[in-house]
Amino acid sequence: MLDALWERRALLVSGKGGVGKTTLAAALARAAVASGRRVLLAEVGVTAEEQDNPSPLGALVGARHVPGPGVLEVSPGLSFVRLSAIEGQRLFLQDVLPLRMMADAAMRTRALRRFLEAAPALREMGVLFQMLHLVRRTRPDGSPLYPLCILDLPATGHALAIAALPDALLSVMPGGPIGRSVREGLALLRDPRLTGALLVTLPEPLPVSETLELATAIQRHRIPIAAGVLNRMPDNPFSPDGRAAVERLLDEHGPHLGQRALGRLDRARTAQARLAGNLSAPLLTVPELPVSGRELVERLATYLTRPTLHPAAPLEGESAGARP
Amino acid sequence: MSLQSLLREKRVLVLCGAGGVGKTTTAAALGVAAAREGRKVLVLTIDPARRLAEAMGMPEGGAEPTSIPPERLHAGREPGPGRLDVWMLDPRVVFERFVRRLSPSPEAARNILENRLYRFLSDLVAGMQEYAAAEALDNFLDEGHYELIVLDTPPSRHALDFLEAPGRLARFLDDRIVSLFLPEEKGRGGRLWRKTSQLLGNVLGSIFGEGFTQEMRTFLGAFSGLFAGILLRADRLRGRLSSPDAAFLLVTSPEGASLEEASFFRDMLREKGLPFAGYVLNRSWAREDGLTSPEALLRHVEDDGAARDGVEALIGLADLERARAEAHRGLLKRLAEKLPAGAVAVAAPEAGGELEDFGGLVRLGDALATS
Repeated sequence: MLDALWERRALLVSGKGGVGKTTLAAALARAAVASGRRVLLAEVGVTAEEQDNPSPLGALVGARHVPGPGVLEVSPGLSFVRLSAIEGQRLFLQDVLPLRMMADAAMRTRALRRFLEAAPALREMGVLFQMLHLVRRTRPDGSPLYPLCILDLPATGHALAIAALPDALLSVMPGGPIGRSVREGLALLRDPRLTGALLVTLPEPLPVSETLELATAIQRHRIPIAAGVLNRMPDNPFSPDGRAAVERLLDEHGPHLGQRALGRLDRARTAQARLAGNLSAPLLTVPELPVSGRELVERLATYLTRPTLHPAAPLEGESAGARP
Repeated sequence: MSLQSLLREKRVLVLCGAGGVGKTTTAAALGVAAAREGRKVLVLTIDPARRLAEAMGMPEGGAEPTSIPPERLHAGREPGPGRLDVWMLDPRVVFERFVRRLSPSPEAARNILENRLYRFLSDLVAGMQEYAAAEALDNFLDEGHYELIVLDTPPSRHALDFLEAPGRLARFLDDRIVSLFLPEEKGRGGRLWRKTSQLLGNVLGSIFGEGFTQEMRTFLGAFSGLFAGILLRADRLRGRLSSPDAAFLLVTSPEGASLEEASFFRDMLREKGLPFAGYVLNRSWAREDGLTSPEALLRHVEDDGAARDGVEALIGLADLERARAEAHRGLLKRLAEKLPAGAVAVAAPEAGGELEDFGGLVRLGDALATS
């Protein structure tokens, strides 16, 4: 399944805050590079105020100093960029205005900048436009400069806002340059061979419910879902017989320490089954590992590139989460 | 001070925190606890998970708050004077009311609400949810029907985003900026202003097409009348939230929690002059449950190999559990360090996954109030 993922041009990594989305985006990028792909890893949703703060995603792949909206090669085959609305808006203005000078003058106008910053749709459009611009860039021989872009979308409903944006924009501005560029963006975003959303979630009831709702909403906007990613799946140390015996013993002798962990494990397994059964996309289950930060990124990338994850059969069949 | 005294004394509890930490559940549970203690409470929330809405008996996108039936609220005890209303606010409803209230005339309100752009702007999520939350809170405080309002702020990367929303909206609608978009005869100013306006006209015309720019001008022209009102209300709400009647709590979870986030939150509030009330460490295993170690079970397995393996596995889980609980206790302890007087750091127990019914909220609320 992962090889099929790497064939696309853009992967949109989405999920609620706290599900490990940023770490997974970094690990996926590393894994794709390890499989021989050239990858652009992009952080999305940076507001003007945040642009100067250190980038959490950048730090995870070793990008110490992120040069504003520019692309930084952090290791062979892996580049990093912070998509910025302002940069996208500037590129857009350059595209539609007859003179480059005019675009620069316009972007220097405080009124216009403020307007573009505050109007939410235009911010997301700027991000979309910069992304398109980077996806379209080619090498001298005409092949894409960044064959695979992995985008770490902001937490909360922004993934939906980005998915809903083209429809909203087209409904108010069907013609003109915005309409044109939105149509172009849609052609990319809605083509399942080119784009896929990865919905990251945790093996808990509420996150799974929310992910299933998000999946429905994203599909309504016809953005293809490449896969669900179930993060931090706890290891199941029991054989079926062993588990049954433990249940018997606990019934007879009352609760013991480990109950909470046992409950958590059961909830995780139920959540996994529910997600696999209701999500109309393959499910990739990623184990819970006792490390964090860059070490976690490396361990997850190694996990994602291990050969058993690349069978010809689809991934749902694999009982990840059981004994590795 | 304990969480219980906050619930008894405050008029507004603002729950901040990143998405996914269980903020809405905490808000609901605190509201339930305060109402069972006898106060008239409103829980104001945006976009709760559907199951939680069901547990609360809350219709989605209702135009008014819904009352929890007293027999449910006071289940298992003598009915008290407390009352609990919940409202999952719909930004569109809030915004429309706001336009109607602030518009100088019904015609002016209609001009805004019937503009195609109005739908477009209020449809887009970013910023509008936050604004709607601030607006609704201000409104309910003004009416004074409730003794306590628990506000579940929209999930955001930064805990205090929602406070910035009115400012952002006001900046957007700043009449100096809006006037640049207005038809020339209505505008003011000298040559520089005219030149800027012209440039902007050209740029917007090329970007959006002439028709759209015209539409935008009409819309902003109608909206600019509301500008003074927005600023005034933003100031008033800021004043109310700075008073000792208000309290800000950060909800965080052991997984996502970082001590940096917590101290950032505190500093931010101090900088803004807002009352910091403490932290809720949600879904934590910090509480002792006093259970015996599963090693004791080994005595009972006799020569059953599967049972022995099972118990060994359970012993492994117990070790993990102990380590986790210890980590959570450590986190709680560090959150509690250097707390200012009156602030709390409490651990909310893991509710065992989803709260399936109202009873779960009652239990969680009791656990929080008494910790």
